[in-house]
This record gives sequence, C-alpha cells and structure tokens, in this order.
Amino acid sequence: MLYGYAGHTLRIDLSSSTIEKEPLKQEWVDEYIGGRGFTAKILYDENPAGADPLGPENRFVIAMGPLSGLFLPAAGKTHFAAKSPATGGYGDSNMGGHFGVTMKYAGYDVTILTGRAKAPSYIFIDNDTVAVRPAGHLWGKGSTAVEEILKNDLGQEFQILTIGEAGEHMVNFACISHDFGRQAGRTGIGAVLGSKNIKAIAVRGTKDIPVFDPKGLLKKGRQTYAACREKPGFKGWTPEGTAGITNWCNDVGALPTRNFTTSHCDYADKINGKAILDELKITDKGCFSCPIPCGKYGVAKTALGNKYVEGPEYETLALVGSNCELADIHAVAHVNWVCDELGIDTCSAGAVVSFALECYEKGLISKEQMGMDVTWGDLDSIVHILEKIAKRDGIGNILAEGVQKAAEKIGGDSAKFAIHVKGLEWTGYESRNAPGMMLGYMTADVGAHHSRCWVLGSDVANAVGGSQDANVHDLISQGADFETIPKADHKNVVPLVLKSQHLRPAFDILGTCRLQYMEIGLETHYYEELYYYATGKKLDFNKDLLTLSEKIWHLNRMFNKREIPDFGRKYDYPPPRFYEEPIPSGPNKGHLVEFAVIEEMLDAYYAARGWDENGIPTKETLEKFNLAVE
Amino acid sequence: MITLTLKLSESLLSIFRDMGCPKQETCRIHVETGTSVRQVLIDQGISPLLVPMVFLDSRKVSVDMPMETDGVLTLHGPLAGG
Repeated sequence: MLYGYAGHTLRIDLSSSTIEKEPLKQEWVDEYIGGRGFTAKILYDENPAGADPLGPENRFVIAMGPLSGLFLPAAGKTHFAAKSPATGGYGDSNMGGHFGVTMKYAGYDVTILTGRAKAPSYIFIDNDTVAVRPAGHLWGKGSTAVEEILKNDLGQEFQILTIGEAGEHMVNFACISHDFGRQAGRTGIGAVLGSKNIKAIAVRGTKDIPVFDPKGLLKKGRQTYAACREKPGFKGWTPEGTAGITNWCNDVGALPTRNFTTSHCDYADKINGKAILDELKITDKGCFSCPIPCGKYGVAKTALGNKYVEGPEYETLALVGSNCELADIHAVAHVNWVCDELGIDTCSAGAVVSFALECYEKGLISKEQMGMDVTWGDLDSIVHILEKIAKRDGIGNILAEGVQKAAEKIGGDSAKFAIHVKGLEWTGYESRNAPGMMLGYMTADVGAHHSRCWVLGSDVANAVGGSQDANVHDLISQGADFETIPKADHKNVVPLVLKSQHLRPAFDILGTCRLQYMEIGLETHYYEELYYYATGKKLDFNKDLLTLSEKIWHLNRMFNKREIPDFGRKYDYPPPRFYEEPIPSGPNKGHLVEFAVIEEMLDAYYAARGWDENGIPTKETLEKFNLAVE
Repeated sequence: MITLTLKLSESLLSIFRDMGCPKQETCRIHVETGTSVRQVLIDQGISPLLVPMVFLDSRKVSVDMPMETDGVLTLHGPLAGG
C-alpha cells in the first residue's frame, strides 16, 4: 500500500482520445516524493528532446505531493509543469485553491496530457469517469465566466481549472485560473493548455486518501494548527496578505516603477494593503485547509464598471501599479480582473505593458500600431494593450511573445529595457541594490521569478548593516532612516541564495504552502512528523528534502541545457538596464550592479553548485546526485 | 515605565539568523512611556527598515507611534508577495 498518495497517474492523449489510468510509479515516489519533484522528473524523462512547447508532443503535467489534501495546515497546493513557451526551457507554476486536492480525492497524484484535441474541449473527471468533452460553447469566454458555467452545469462541488482568451491564442504568458481568482501564473502554462485545445478541466473527487496512521495524523494535524496559532506571525499575515509589504518595498527602494526605470514612487499609499482594505475588500479568502487566508476578495469600481476580483496581490500592485504608474487601487484591481478574465499572468502583464509604454514613449511603437494614444498611468491604455495581447491583434501579436522576443522584433534599444531573464519577465523586486535577490532572479531555472529565491530582506539587512558579518550594533549605529541606502555588499550572497533556492522547492514537493514555515515559523519537525504519519516513512527535512531540492535544480538545469540552443552562462545575465543605468531616484538613488560584480557572483554561484564556468553541472555533480542525464 | 512583550515573526528571525546574530522569538522589555515604536526597535538592535509591519496587540501601528501602555508588539519581517 502506498500511503499518502492517491496511487495513480492519469494519462490522456488528446490526439487519440486515449485515457489510461496506471499505478503511480514507485521510482517517482522513492526518488522525487511529489509535486515539483515529480514534474521535474517526468518532463526530463518523457518530453521528447526539442519538443515544440506549443506542439502536441509537449507534456502538460499536474502533480500533487504526499501531504496534499490531508488534514494539516495549507495542504492545498497544485504543481503544473510543461516545457515553457516563454523560455523554451523547464516551466512550472504553483497554485493554491482546491483543484489539486480534489484531483487527489478523485484518485490521481499525477495527470499527464499529451497531443492536441481536434476541437475545443474540456476534460471531465468524476472519480473513475474521465472524458474529453466538447467546449465550443466555452471557447472565447473569460476564465471566471467559464468556471461559473461549468459549476452550474456539473455541480458546485466540481473544482474547475480554466484558461482565458490569452491561453486560447497561446500568449506566452497566459495563465491557468481556478477558484474565482487563484492562478498558476508563470511560464506560459496556460498557453500550453490552449495549444492542446483544452479550455478547462472539471474534477469531482470523493475517495479517501490512504494514510499510514490516520489517528496519528489527525492528532499531529491538530497540534500543527495549534502551533500555527501560537506563532507571532499568525495574526499579522491575514489582514492585508501579500499587499502588506508594498510600502516596505517602496521604502527600501525595491518597488519597480515605470518599467523598472526607478525603484520608488510617491503614491505607494494609494496602492497598498490598507488601500485594499479601505476601498475594495469584502472578505478574506483562503485556500484548502489554510489557517491564514491571505486572499482578499473585493469589488473594483471604475468608469469601466464594477468588477468582483480576488486581489490584487503584492506582485500585481507592483507590476500593474507602480511599474505602469497606475496610482489608483480601483484601477489596479480592475486590471487584475481583466488579466484574470483574459487568463494573463499579472506579473508578466505589468512588465509587458510597461515595456510597451516605454517603447511607445520612445517612438519605437507608433500610434498607428498601438491603435490609440497610450500613456503611463492610464487605465484605458493598459486595458487596450492587454486586450490586443490576448487577441494577438496587431502589435499585441508581438507583445504576446513576451518582452524578450518582442524586443527582437521592435528593435531600437528596446532590448536594454526588456526586463527579463531567460525570456520570463522580472517580478516585483527591483534589485539594483539587492545583489542576492538579483542573483536569485538570474539563476532561477524558470527565468526571473521571485518564488524561486527570495532574499531581499537579507539584502536590505546587508546594506543597512554594511556587510553580512556586521553585528547588531552596526544596525543601531546607522539608525533607521537613510536618505540613500548604503550599497549592499555582494561578497557573501551565494550561501543565502542557495539556501533559499533549496528551501522553497521543499514545500512544492510536499504539496503545502510555504508561508506557514516562512512567515509563521512552523518548525521542520512538524513536516517530518506529518510526512511520517501520512506515508509511514521517515524524512529528514534538512538532509533528505533539501538534498532532493538541490537535485531538482541540477536536473532542471540539464533540461534547459538539452532544450535551449547554446544554453549556458549568457542566459543568466540580467537586462542591461540593471548594470548600465544607475537608479535615478528614491532611497537607492545612484546604485546599480556592475557587470563585473555580476560575473563575480556567477563564478561563485557556479562553483558552489558544482557547475562549470558556463553554468553546466559537471559530471561529478551529476554522479553525486545520481542523475544519469546528459 | 511600561512593559512591552516583543514578538518577532519567523521572516524577521531568519534574517538575524542569517546575519549571525540570532534573536529570541519573544522577549519582555521595559521602556519609558511615550517611546516611539521606532526607538524601541533601534534600542533592540532591529533596523525599522527590516520591519514592514508592526502590530500592537492585534492592531497595525506606525513605527512613529508613541507607546503609552503595556502591550504586545509583534514585528513582521519582509516576505515575498504572491
């Protein structure tokens, strides 16, 4: 008996309408545990080398972890992966809500889609009944609208995953939506589903998940909830959710503003967590079994109408708000709603729109191409550009490729302000005075994504204290306020980056949200004990789980080497704006990361990882992690 | 004098651990009535630049707020958005 798992893999070949249910591979469980571990292994092993990300051979993988769906805090995470149309390399995205949990209750730990349906379709899963059904009546409709239609048609207990119009048109940063406001946003996962002609997946699951010690798990689950409630971070996280850090990012000069031209704005108070509470919020909204519901559900009121929307999260406030100079919380929330309905990742949306606005400002995109006179901070302009992108209409067809590929077509000096790594747009942390954060973005397997590594707090401490070795009195002596924050030292950031890069996958593997550990401070022994009661197997968090995390980093690096022509060091460089243009204003005025520093950090990072000077894992490193890959 | 119970969130504790100067999750301190939250933090060796959110009991407060009565001051470190 395989405890902690539903025990099955569901394979659907959409070209032939073949549906197969097979036992979950023991090799995957033994070596990769679950979630992100499964997706890394499956994509490397099963995706044909050189597969077109938007072709039928690309695998679309859904995977849950051994703790997903069990009685313990925040066990509602689902992992999606495919070869990314944005980067051409390994792509994945993680989502909360209730979808993956229900997939597990239906009997499936892993679902693998291949091929392409002949006509728009949706996948129907009701425990053992699985079918590919026509979805012509859903095609062209918004994500939330489709979720409502399918719930009304099938039953409210069905959990629905959808793509929007952007996914149908295979926009490189199309996302997956679920639960009226949760998204698997990054790496163009929604475009891959669209390429397979799949508009939605609807699932109902009513089965049990076998666990090794049900009474022990129940007792430990209760203890874990109680431990969460006792932690200092427990009460503070819920009120504003991720939006609570908006002012902080502005205060420390990390808030991307005007397409990352600068890192500070004078209207952060208008687009922060308090503004959401004062202006938008109706209720808190949480994922499956979460004790700290960080989602905010509310209504955005603008001249374009009243729209119910979950969010905005911090990333949306930063990328759609300050980065597009949109200084009104209702307007930001409206754009959030537009992105959700169209099925566009709000991070990339804000980055691409701000890139387009700068191109327009500099005359690289004409008014005729744009279709109207667009400007910074204008809601109509932003919505206009997003709709053109989702429909791949005119200039929108170029922008739909993402900033890297769009810059290649638009020309001029636009590549210098196309803010991305490996083709994935940079998210909400301007890093010219945050070398650790910069290195984390640069070296992430999926491109510039904060969820791969987040060390901005340590970068700020580093800058304020003068060095990583500064004792606490250095902080005191330098006081609280800095007109200009001192330059952060880059010398010792690699260990912090590696630590963060290894810690974060652990939760994606287990199938839980990381916030209970990172914000509340839930100790690792809780995860070890919950894993034992669920699976009957011992797990050393620091030894076993973090070693697996490290293995996944090597495996995904090798996936990128196999799939991306001439892959190596040059793919880890940040955009030129960050090493050529000092920040012109705000608390980090004058700072940039010199290119020599970038090279120095990469050298140190590669050496610490056991990669060669071009950033490729050495033979010895691969052998050490028992990876038989080339 | 007033008595404050200081509680530090994990995201803040982890920064100090990484800097090699770990702090206690909870401690009790005595300060002069009227001392600002900002000064309390500085006196404890915590740069206010590392504390995005401060709660007095269950209420979010500014670092400029003077502390007038006993209470529980919970300090949240920075954390990545969603």
